[in-house]
Parts: sequence; structure tokens; C-alpha cells
Amino acid sequence: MSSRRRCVYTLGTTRLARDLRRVAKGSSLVWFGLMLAGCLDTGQARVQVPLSVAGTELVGDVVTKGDVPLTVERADLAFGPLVLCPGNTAGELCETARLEWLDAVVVDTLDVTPRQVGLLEGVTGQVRSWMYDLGITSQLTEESPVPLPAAEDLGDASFVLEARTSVAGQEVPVRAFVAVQQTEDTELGVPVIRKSASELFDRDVQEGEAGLRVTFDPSPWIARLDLRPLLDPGSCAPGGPPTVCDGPLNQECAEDGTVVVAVDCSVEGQVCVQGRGCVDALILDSSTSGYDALRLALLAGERPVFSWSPAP
Amino acid sequence: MINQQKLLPLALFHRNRSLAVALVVASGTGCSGSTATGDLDVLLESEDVIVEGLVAGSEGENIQDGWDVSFSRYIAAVGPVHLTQGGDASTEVEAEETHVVDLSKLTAGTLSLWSFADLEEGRWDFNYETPVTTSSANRDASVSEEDFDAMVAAGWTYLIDGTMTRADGVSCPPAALATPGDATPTGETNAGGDDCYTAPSINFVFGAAAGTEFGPCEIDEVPGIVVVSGDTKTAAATIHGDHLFFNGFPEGNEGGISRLAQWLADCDLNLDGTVTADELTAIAPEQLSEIDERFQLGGSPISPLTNMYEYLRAQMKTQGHFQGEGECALDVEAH
Repeated sequence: MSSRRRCVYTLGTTRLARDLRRVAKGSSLVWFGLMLAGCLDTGQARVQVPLSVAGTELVGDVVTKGDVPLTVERADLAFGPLVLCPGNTAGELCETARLEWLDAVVVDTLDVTPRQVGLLEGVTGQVRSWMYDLGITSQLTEESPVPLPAAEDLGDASFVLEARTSVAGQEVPVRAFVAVQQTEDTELGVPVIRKSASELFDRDVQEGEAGLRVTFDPSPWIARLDLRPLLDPGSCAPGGPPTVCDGPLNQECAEDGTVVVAVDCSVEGQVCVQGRGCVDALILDSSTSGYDALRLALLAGERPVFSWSPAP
Repeated sequence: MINQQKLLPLALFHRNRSLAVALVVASGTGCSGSTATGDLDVLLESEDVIVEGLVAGSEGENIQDGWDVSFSRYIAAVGPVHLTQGGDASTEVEAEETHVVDLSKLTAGTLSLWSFADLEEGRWDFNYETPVTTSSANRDASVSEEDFDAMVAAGWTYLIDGTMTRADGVSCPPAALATPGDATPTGETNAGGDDCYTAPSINFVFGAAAGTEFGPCEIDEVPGIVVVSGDTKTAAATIHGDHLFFNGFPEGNEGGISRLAQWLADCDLNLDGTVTADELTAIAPEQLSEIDERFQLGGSPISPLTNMYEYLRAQMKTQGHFQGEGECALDVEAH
């Protein structure tokens, strides 16, 4: 395991990819050459650090905006790759990854049992920042972000939510499939989630490091949902929308605000969702604010807890 | 974009990578045992968009959703400046002054504010702070006493006053939060179904605490500055002004960033023509339909991001640069 040679061996995610881009721009062949030649005696040792993941048990329902309770039945997250950097700032300023895990797995964020998912590989030394993707990675060699098998298992999504709420006594299934990835409008080639400068993360990784555990709690993400615009009962009104849900009733409205016809969705075992009428479930697709709420929560909401040397 | 002609020696340095590499090699080989010294002047530099504004368009630093933006006040507290050799804290020297300057009045682009004399020649790491304003800070003549006192009283780092204009502009505040009063909707709605109201001109005024330590800084992968014996070199702490409109938090290259302003127009909840800190605080990011997949907030220096005022504070913490477009690591833990 131990090696006294350190090379810039990080592939894809950080330095090499970044410098390949610079070379493509024709900007710095000199630096690139220096970098490739840059295997230095540093006194660092190569290490492999066990990486484990865990979820958080939810106690009762998650209360979403407007005090709408949601019974969460599934909250699966595609997690990885993960990169640990020596500096306080990750992203492009992560000159060389100290440790990295280039795989991705599906994490059951409701399962508190830690599960080892792989090995962080790299060299000994200080790590002060992290960055990771949610199963969909952006490589500078690819035009579009690439779903890894973990995301493929979730239907090319980063996060899958399955839950239930109730409206007027009727149970309403709620589902979301959220993809979190870089786009042409953002930072291609950089992991989507990076440690905030305001977060503390500092470890001098040495040989024999027992492991790093990443623990996710989906409840604050889910709590950011506002289902009221889709589920709150409405009524026909002059100049209003052509169809309005009132509990399980899907009402077709005349321009003067009178009800033309009302269909009880529950007769067919369906629920009524504003703007959609009778459906089997409330699907939070990318046209909904609920989808955006989950995507933003994953990106800039509560972070997972990183803990070193977890107890067995 | 920084006007490179404002910093001629630095511009030469940036444009000639061979020279840059040569200087690195020269400094790396060192002159051990030398006691030769030189001086350093440090400039505060205002990105030209703070003075000249941003215009709508599809290129470079344009605002890409149709709004022009100008700033009538862009007051920032900047300094102290710290230098170290090789990151060794025992070598740290500091120009401890904090200056409060209206960057929108910096028509010359730069202002010489800090100086270091008799530095050992060689390479120095460059770090500086944008702290919260205290009464011990130096008020520049570009800042009114009233504004300075307000910044001290509130503990702000920035006080920003700007205007965004668009001939066919609209404000579409989230329906759940909007208090439009007598305003009449245009009949159009945004992607979130929120009513839109005519708004060809919208002001925004807010102060914010955004204490941040920037550094070590680098430009084109070359860290810090080189002090040359018997000479006075110049370095610049550069404050960018367009990050408020970024669709993400880039660390490094800003080339992939878009600048968007409609979200800010939609924060005028009471449609009085001015977006305030209170309004921004009332809005969660997910309540703005404009904050869609174009926005990638995973690198925010503040987390969790719970409202749009925090979002702006987070962007303010990324505005410190070096020698124009150079990058600085940022550390907000001490603030």
C-alpha cells in the first residue's frame, strides 16, 4: 500500500480534466507538461479508506409547508462519486484530490444501518473539503452528464421519493424522481455539490484511517415541499381555470364560474390533482415547484454528516 | 471583465505566460540567505461592471434574460491584507486597515489603499478580508457619513443600491407571497403560474454582512505576488459586481456561468418598484419559478440556503478576486 511517490493521478473529476480543457483551449502547454512531470517525493503514503453510508430513521410523518404531513415510504439517493480535497475550497480550486471514490451507490436514506460501499483511494494528508455528485457525473469529455449505474437504477434520477398524504380523507400517493446534474448553463466538469466554506471539515488522514461515514437525513429536504397548490381544494370561479379539484371531485368549470360537470376520481381509485384532474398519484415532475424544491434542497439544503472512524 | 490597461504591469504579467513561468522558476530557485527587500502597493480594484453596469444580451457578461443593470452605490468594506511566505503563519505581515469604499464611484478602476515596505524579496501569498464594518474602519470620501454609519450600525460588509431596467419588463412575484395591492396584472403568468405586473424599472437596495477571508490568491495558476529587491510591485484586491446575478457558485473559471436577473425582479412582493432585504428574506429559493434547472447552487458558501437574502449573501462571499480575474480560496469560518 505504502508508496513514497505522489503523482497527479486524479482522473476525470479534477485536475487532469481541468488541464485537458486548458490544453484544448491552447492556453498552457507549459503548465500541462510541468504537471505531467510532477511526480514528487513528498513523504506521503498511499491509503485506502473505507467509505460507508447510512440514512436516518424518520420518526412519524415529515411535515411539509402549510403543515401538510407526508408519510415517507421510500427516499433513495444516488450518491457518488466523492472527492476529498486538501484545501478549504473544493470545486475547480481543488488542485489535486487527496482521496476519491469514483463509484456511486443507491443509499436508502431511511435506513440507519451503516453500509460500506467502497474505498476512498489516495494519499495521506490533510483534507478540508469535499465534493460529490448524485449519481450523474459531468465529464469534460462528454457533452452531457452521464448517469452511473446507481442513477440508472433509479430511472436516471438522483433521488426518488415515494410517500403518502391525505386530502379530504382520501389517501394520495406522492412520487418524485429528481435528477441533479450540471448543464450547459452551469459548471460542466465539476461535481454538483461542494462543501460550503461555512462548514467545518478537517482531518489529517493517516495510514490505518478507520473510515469515513456519510449519513443522510432526507427529512429537511422533503419538508421544503409545498403540496398545497396541487392538493388544496378549489372551486370554480369566473375567469378561473377550466378544471378545479375539490377534494376527490374533478370539476369542469364554465367561464361564468359555474360547475359544468363533476367527476369523483375516487370511484376509479384515483385522486384529483389541480391542473391535472384524475390521476393515480401526484407525480412531482420537472414542471412542478415540488420538483424544484427537492432539487434545490439536495443542492443547497441540509448537508449529510461526515464522520471519521465510525464505531463498528 | 477587468480593464487590463488599468494595471499595465499586471497585464503584461498575465498575457505572457512564459514570463510568468520564468518568474515562478526564478522565485522557486530562490536566493537563500539574501536580505534584499522590496515594497508592495495594494490596490482596491472595482470590476468595470460595477461602474459601467451590465447590459442585456447573449454574450460574455451580458444579463441573459433581457435586463440592464446599473449601480448607484456599491459600498464595500475591504481589508486587512495579509501576506505570508509559503503559507507559513510565522512570516505573516499585515496591512491592517479596513477601508469602506463606494466601488461604483471608482471610475479610475483602482484605488491605492495598502502598502508594505521592506518585504523580503521572493514570492508571497496574498490574502485579504471583506469584513463587517466597524467604527474603526476608514471611510473613503466616496461614501457618505450616513451610509457609513448605517453600515457600522448594522454590521454590513456591503451596501448595494441598483436599478434594473427593461422596456417590456415585468415582475411576477410568487402568488403565495405577493401583496400587489391595486396593481393590475398584465394577464400573463410566469412558468410557476404567478401573475405578472408591468415593471420596466425596478430598484434594489440591501445591505448585508458577508465577512469573508479570501486567499491564498492566484492568477493563471501562479500564486500570490513576487517582491523584487529595490522595486515597488503592485497587486490588486478585485471586487466583482456581477456575482449577484450568477446562476451558481463557480470556484475557478466563471466561463460556464450565466447572468440572470428576472428572479430579482420577481422579488418585488409588494410591487412598489423596490426590492428590499425584507422581501428577499421572505422568499425561499423554491418559491421562485425562475430558480429552475439553470441554477446550480451546490457550491454555496452558505448552507442551507433558506431564502433569497441568504442567497445574495452567499454570492457576496464569492466576489473577492485577485489581479482582475484571479481566484482566491475563501474562508468564512472565522466570520
